[in-house]
Amino acid sequence: MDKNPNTDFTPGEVAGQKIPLQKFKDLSSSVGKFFREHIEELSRVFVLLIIFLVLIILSPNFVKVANLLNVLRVASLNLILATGMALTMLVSGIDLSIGSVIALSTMMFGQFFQEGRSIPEMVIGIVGILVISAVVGSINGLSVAYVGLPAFIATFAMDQITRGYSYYLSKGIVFARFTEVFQFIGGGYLFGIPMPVIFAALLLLVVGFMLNKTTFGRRIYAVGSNKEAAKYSGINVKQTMVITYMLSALIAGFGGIIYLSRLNAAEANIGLDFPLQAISAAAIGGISFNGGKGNVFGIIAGALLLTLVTNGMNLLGIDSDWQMGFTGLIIIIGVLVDRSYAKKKN
Amino acid sequence: MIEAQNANKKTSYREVISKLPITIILWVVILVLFSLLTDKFMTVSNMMNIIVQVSSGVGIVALASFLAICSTGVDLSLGGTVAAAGMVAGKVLIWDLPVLNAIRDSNPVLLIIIAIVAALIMGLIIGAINGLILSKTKIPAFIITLAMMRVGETLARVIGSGTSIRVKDDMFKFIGGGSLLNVTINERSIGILPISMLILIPLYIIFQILMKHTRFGTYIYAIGGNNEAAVLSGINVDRTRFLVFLINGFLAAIAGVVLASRLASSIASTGLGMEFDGIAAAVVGGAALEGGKSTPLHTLVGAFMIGALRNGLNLIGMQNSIQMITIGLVMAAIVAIDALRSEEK
Repeated sequence: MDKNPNTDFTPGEVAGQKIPLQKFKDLSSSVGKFFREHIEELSRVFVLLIIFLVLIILSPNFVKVANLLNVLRVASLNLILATGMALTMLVSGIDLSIGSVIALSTMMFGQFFQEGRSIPEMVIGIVGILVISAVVGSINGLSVAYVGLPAFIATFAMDQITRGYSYYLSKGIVFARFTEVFQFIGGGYLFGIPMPVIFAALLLLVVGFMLNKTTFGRRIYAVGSNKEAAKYSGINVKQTMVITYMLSALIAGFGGIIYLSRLNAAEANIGLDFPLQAISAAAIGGISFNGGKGNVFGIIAGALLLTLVTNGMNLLGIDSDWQMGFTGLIIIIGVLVDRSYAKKKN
Repeated sequence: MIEAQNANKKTSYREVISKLPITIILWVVILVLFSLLTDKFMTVSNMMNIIVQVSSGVGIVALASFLAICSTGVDLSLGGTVAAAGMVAGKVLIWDLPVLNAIRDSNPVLLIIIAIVAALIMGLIIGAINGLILSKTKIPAFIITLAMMRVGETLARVIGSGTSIRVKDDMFKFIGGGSLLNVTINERSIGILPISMLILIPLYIIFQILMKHTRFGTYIYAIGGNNEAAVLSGINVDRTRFLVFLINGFLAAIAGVVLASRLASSIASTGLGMEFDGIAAAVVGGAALEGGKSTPLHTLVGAFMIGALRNGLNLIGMQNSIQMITIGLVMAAIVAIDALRSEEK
């Protein structure tokens, strides 16, 4: 059926010009579309707001600036670790070795930060930690991508190996009393903002840009969504995976430096709980275990949510024995409300 | 002709070798190596030591890990369940309640039975929650069981109102530490029929039969092999997954009771890392993390391999740190060899 060109426009639209009602309809439908497309992010923001409100009502100390800055400062470490973890999860992997990587690299270079050491020595130490982390991450990536080990096993074995090696190196030694310059990295303030928060924000900016605006970021999503399809569309899947695992460990090392500096000590058993914390934050933030799904906003929401809950429990004076269990329950609830895991009924 | 036949023989011989699980080969290597390195290794008392250590620790957890992995999903809550269930048993044994005190005085065996049943119920509850969530949603087992691990550990601490409970009941201690038959070698009494082994071995036999000869086992392999296909062929995937995690809670509770009994105390941190040891044993035994592979018996071999390796490394006086490195390397190597072999095929 031939269409009359003269009638080929929707009613209410005259010669390309929209009347105000139509404009409003367009606007409302695009707002609706925005809500529909971002329902997951919005639901996370909503949950955060609820927790925020509950904490405000329950504890008058919560909204004090000092406490809020403290929440951000504590959240920033988990935020950094979760960002690295999220990268491996985006390529449908996992990295259980991030805590031990931190322990190993700090056992090797912790002495460079102790009192009496010069600034160049400190820089060598920092670079050393980052290099060791990157090397360990690359080995993880190589054994997952090229040898074909499941990520879980490869990084768990690596966790045991690096943890064992850091115990071997330490022989019970604790590096403590770092120089003031080094302590500034994790304990200092810039314009009233804690340094870890600034570092975490910078890292999120860089990773967010990488994931959304660079080809490498698109490759990560492609590999995570469908390895075969990515391969046939000309992506070097194995190389992408190796670089991703390297980045994950590198980011862990970066977080480790900040952690050390704030702790003002380094010992072989630090970071035992880091992988699980980071995985929890990423999972609550909607980073899919199957790969290819999730973004930095989710990571922020996940890490903030976990920290807020811990902070709230501290403010309310909840016994530390109970806290771990409550965190577990919050993780379960956090994932349960995530719509993307809902089962479709046929 | 003859040459061809010989060639045939050779290939079939090589096939047999290539079909042998790498674990068994490595197991033999470990046994031979350690008996050469130290004469303390290949003794009856040390062998029984290994058996008791494995039976009352990672052995049962490894079976549960295998079930979870086989139906696609790791179970990280096992260690927490072990701790919580062990603590429940300990708590019932020492709890200062009028009812329990009366039973303690009149019928100590009944009290032990109550303690064990309570522990098993604890395990079943944790398993049921896992199973319920994991069968009703698409949430990966990893994250839910990770959270339940924390819940389990918290329960253990709260129930024990502290970190540990000492159990003094000799009859209860017999479960994990006792033996039905003792022999005297070099003036030392050695139990050669430990109760813990008599619990472990039947469990593995039951599950071997369950996995290989019942519909339930077939379903588990089918789900692990190809979830979509399992759904399409009419298998009740949800119910099977629920049952797997329910059974896992039960098994972990048994492990908790046996372990608390052997250590003569319930300790909240006792399960820390046990789930990972269990996964290591299952994977070393040949379970692929994608599911649908391996059998309970292979898992048992894996558990004993890791047990023998730990024990041997201890006996030759290797530091703990180097032991961690060695076990990590062995695990990676075994799985790598398996991965490369399956790639060849």
